[in-house]
Amino acid sequence: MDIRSQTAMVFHLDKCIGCHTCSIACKNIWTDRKGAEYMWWNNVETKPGTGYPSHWENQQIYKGGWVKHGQRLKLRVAGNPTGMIKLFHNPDMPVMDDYYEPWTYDYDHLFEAPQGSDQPTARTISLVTGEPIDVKGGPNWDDDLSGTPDYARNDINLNNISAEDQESMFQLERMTMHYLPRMCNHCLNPSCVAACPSGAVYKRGEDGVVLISQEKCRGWRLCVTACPYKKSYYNWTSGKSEKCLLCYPRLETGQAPACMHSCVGRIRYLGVLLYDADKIKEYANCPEDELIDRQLDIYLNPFSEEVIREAQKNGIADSTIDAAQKSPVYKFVKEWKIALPLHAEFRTLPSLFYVPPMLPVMGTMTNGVYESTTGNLWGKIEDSRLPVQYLANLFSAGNADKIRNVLKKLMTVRYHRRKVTVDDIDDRMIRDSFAETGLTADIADAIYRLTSLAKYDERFVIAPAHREEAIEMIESTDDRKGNTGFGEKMGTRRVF
Amino acid sequence: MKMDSKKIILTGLLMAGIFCQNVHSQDGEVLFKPCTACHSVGGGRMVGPDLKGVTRRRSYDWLVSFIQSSGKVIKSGDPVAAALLAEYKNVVMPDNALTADQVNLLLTYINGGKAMAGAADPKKVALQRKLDSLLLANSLQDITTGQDLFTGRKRFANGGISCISCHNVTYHGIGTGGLLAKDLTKAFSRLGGFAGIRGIIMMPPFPSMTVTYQRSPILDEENVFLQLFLKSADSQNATEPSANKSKFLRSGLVSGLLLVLSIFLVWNRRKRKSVNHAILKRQERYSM
Repeated sequence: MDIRSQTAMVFHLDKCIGCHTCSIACKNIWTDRKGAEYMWWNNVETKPGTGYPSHWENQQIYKGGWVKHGQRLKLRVAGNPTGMIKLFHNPDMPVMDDYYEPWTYDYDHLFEAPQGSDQPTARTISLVTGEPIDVKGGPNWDDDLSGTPDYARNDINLNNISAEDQESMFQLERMTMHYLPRMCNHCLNPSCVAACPSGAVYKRGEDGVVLISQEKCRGWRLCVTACPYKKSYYNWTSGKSEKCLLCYPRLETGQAPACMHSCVGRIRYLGVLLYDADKIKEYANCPEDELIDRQLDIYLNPFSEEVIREAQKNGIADSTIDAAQKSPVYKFVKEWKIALPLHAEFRTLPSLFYVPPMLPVMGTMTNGVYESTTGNLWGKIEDSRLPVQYLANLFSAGNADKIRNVLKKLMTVRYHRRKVTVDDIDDRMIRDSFAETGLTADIADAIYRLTSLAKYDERFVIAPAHREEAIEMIESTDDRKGNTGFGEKMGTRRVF
Repeated sequence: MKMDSKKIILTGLLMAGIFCQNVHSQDGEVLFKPCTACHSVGGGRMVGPDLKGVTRRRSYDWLVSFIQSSGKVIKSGDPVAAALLAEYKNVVMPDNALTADQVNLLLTYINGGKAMAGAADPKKVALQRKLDSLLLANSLQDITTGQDLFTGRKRFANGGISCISCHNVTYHGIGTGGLLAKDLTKAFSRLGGFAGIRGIIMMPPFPSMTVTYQRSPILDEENVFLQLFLKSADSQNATEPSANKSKFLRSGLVSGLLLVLSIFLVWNRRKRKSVNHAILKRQERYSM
């Protein structure tokens, strides 16, 4: 056993209102720089939709992630003679149009325009060329299903859904959507780390944060291609790649990452998971239908005596083990099994889990009344507007039963709380739902509490970073305070 | 620490003593020792001419300036120097940091005839005999030893760096050597046989080689092995025309071409346009 600790995350999609506050918080702190304008380390997508960059999930286009290659796991982009050639000419790289051309507005013109008969306007100016441009797209151009024929209809997750079902999904009165906030998954088996020819991308030992050393990065951009989530971005000014750093300077001082801290819907949870690094190779390489279960197996019970002993042997601090025991992520992912990784089939073992959204129930017009009640216990799940298969394509590598299980659990919590608060639900129905999902009243209450009432300290259980505390004792860190920023410690300059 | 005047004087005296000793030891015999690599006095020509009677052949001033820096004299367009250079296969005598007095001592020594062959001690004679017999035997084993010394498979006893670092020799079983210094494939015939190679290795006329082996001189025996090896390389390439000369260039061109072709293979499967191409094009059409 090689136990390590991973700072993992859960996003509760039922609570996401798609306000983009997380993206803005991140942008303000990290990517409000020249060359980084187009980077959205955190972004919120509307699903169905093609996301950002467009069609990022389609690895036939972008060649990200891992593929099973006989007994071995192989990077889709590299690791063979063609991969070597791709160092110098990589045709799978996303281009600017796959993202968007970042722009600002010519605000000065509003004040400085000469007097005329028209009201002055602030034209859009490209942040790349400085020339006026006509904006043709943006990072959330398909927000709230806008431009459906171009975006939502082309969602690759609809591929194995019958044309009939697709047609019914996009009828106006049946249309539905949910939001998918995305950021770096800080994977256990990161393909960006594996692909980097300079050895610049690394996974931090103490908390598993995946980082790109700005000193070592030589701008090969293979991480951009290799990351199946397209969460590594190339900074065209510094000539280096950058990615989400899970706000590690904030983590080290006990604060939640900016996106999580600012989340209006409080959908985000952060906590420690202990995992067995020896198992990564085997589990990331397992058959596709086992991927989700295997990944859950890799996380270890932080209350087990043996795990604690092994963790201590591996140099994991007691405070980290303590944090792992209190981890809300452990509860969601492992205890209650209601959070699932996004696109497990990329085989990177992501550390970001999603509680899939309950879907709006399909209603029918009966006698002029919009009727959405169903007689049977799980009718609301089966009759939902978005096929369960669609969610399965996102969160369970296509296994719809897994999604149904999670949705049933979420529904059970609602039945139970309805019973507690309103008490208009049949006892048998509650019993049946508990029996089928394996929940109990206590667990349902715990899920309810962590979902809706949890305070800051319950949502974010951050393991103390002793190394940084030690540095603070011997060095004055005051002169660094207030100097947050992204860049290089040593500094480089462009030579051409 | 404060250094008092007594200490300074003492140090000064000591240093002066050391210098004096050095000057005294610079007698002709010591000074002539390095010259024996290429020159003999009455022993026939080696890399350089036999110096017997040299003071009669050339003027004193010419000798002083030529010994101090032969290169300068050659450059000045001196006809005698030019003729010597041509005669001795363009091997320039290295500069010697000697004062006029020291050259005087040297010339006196050469004149005095003490440097005649045969005056050497029996130990040296025995060594020379052994080396000569090695050269005569020209055994395969010794050639291989020379090859190993050249390539660095076997280290020089004094730790000098192996020849292949800077020199190339086209030879079976040896990869391409360094290109920093001259190609030694034809060195044997170019430098006029064993003596030429021996002289250059003992007393390199090239500044960078001089510095390289200053602290780690190559032993006489190793020198012989190298001579045998270079002779072997020379004869090997005399019978086989060196077709390998353009090999590197040709293989480079071919593999470069292959690389370019393979790029085209990848290029063929490239992501031809942005995934948003259709959307953007349509917008352009409507905005006209």
